[in-house]
Amino acid sequence: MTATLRSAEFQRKAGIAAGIAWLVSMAGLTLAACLSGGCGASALQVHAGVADIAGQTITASGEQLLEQRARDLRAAVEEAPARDVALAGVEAVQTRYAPAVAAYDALRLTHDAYVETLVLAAAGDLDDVARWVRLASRVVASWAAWSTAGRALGLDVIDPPAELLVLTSIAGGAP
Amino acid sequence: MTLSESLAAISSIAQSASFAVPPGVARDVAAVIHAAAGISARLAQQGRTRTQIVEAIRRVPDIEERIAEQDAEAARLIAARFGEEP
Repeated sequence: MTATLRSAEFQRKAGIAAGIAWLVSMAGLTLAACLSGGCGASALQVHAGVADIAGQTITASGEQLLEQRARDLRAAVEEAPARDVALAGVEAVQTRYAPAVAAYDALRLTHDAYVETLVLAAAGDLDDVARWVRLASRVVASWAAWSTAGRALGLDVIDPPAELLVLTSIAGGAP
Repeated sequence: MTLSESLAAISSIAQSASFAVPPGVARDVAAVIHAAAGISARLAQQGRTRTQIVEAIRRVPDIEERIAEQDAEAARLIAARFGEEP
């Protein structure tokens, strides 16, 4: 009996049996989780994921805007032969970038409104998917205005993430 | 790194190990760890509350302050290059 218990084959089988038992219990837990909360991603999870990706992409393009603006301001001063020319050059850069800065800010606020609605929905345990899609559509519309303004400055503005476009087109959300 | 991501990484490492080692106890153990960590990762994700889901959304920062800093820096550069305004 002791010899059997000590054999490598027995220990191997015991290890596998313990593993299978563990897996069966975990599968049971998974099933319980699915039955209680649903296995698929909830609408809130989907919107939160898309809003997160959109937020990252917008932030990245904002950094690009800031870098290029800083470069242009520096060049306006460094290339100017006199104070008046430098002042005029800086003002010209500020004016040239103003529409893009405004468009970027509008996009930021639209994204913020979208996220804020999701946060409120999570707190109140309310799902208003139609409203989320409308807000997501507004983000897409603001993104278009930002793209136009950014590209006019020569910025390589990234398009809205495919997930965001799919989310708004499938649900037929109107701005 | 979140719990879910850590478990997913462990699952992935265990899967690689199960391919790398010869058949035997070590491979069986690696296979079991791979499966268990994979399921646990899924469960950890399922367990996130609605608040945790929305708190993970990254917001877009306001650039107004940095724009103002850039303008102030340009004014400083002008002063440094051409002297203070007469």
